[in-house]
Amino acid sequence: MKPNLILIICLLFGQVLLAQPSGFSPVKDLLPFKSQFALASQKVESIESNFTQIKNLSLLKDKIQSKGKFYYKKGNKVRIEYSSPYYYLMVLNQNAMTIKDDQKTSSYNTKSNKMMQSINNIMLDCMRGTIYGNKDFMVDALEGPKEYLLKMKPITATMKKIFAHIEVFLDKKDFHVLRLNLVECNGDNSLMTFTQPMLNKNLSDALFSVK
Amino acid sequence: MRFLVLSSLFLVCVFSLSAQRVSTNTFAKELRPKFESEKYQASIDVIGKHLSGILIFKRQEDSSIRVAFVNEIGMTFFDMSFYDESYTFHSIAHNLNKKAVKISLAKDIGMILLRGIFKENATSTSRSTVQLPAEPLEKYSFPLKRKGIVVYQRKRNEREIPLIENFGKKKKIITITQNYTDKNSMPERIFVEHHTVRFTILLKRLHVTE
Repeated sequence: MKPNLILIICLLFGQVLLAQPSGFSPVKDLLPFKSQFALASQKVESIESNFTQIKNLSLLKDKIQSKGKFYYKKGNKVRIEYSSPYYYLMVLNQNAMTIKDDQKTSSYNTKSNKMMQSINNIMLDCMRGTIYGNKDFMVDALEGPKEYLLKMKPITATMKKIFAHIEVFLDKKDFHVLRLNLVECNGDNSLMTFTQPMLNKNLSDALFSVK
Repeated sequence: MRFLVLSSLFLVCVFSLSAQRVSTNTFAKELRPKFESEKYQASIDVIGKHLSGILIFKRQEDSSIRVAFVNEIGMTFFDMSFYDESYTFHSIAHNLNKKAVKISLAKDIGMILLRGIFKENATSTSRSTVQLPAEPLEKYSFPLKRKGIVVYQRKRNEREIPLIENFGKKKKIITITQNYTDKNSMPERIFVEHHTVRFTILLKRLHVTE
């Protein structure tokens, strides 16, 4: 075998290994997985959860840790409330997004901001079990002993400029989102870990409007 | 007549002005803020748009300063490096990737860091000292690579620079005010105000432990 061919085979094999996180292998039977995921998500009326977010700045060799509360309610309503390192509120209600910091409150139509729109869609798709319907990404489903991993690769030009890929980790027991890892093209990543989730609690609509 | 002589003597004693011409690097290095890594809560308002997030300054092994601005949900707005006499953008968000925005951001941050934006080995750099009884002030003036000059003002023998101003040919372009609580560190609050366009940057120092 020619040395070049050996090198190419080694590189391809390496790529496959790199693309597949350790402890995970492809889901063998995809159709039942998809329908179970969708069915489990349909039963979720609301979620209240704590979260921590760690932003790794790869080239800077630095990280930023944030904490807060996450709320989801059926009908495309999401509230992400950061309490540390400072207060910051992001509320999504249908296509309207409101952001409140200590300087001002700003409202946006998510359709006009691709980055915001994509992150909101991913969050909502995770909660609604509609990830496979997201037209911006191609999804690979992997499974480990306790978790599913949905690896989302961007396919549209806009998303390719923002993300290298996105990883969604689901609990195998109930398909609940455990972690969300946004990996940017420059190697930076932002890992959100959800803890102490409370499902189907009665959440007031007032949580999803900002005055 | 006696009053006039006394007044003149008083003025000579308390108000003396001196100026020196030295290379840009000499004074710029002397004035540069000393730090290893700092994080700021940042708000940028530019022509009706409001961006917020965390601005990180970090000294690198080659002594350059890396500056990254990330929003709260973790996406990087821009990432750049400042060297002694130049700067470079490693990445910038699609909607900010415009020549005028990049020049402006680099100038504003370069003014705070005293790096990357000044003319190399310029001879017009000067230090003028205004001695008043209560507050002896030193002013340092550096010509920019692009048009205009930047004037730094500080109390004599102190490290803090409470006021930085950028002047064009005819008018003031930018004012930066810096508030300190610890004399030996970076400012607690930095406010950048552009006078010719609607563009402000507010930075509040974060005291976070990793």
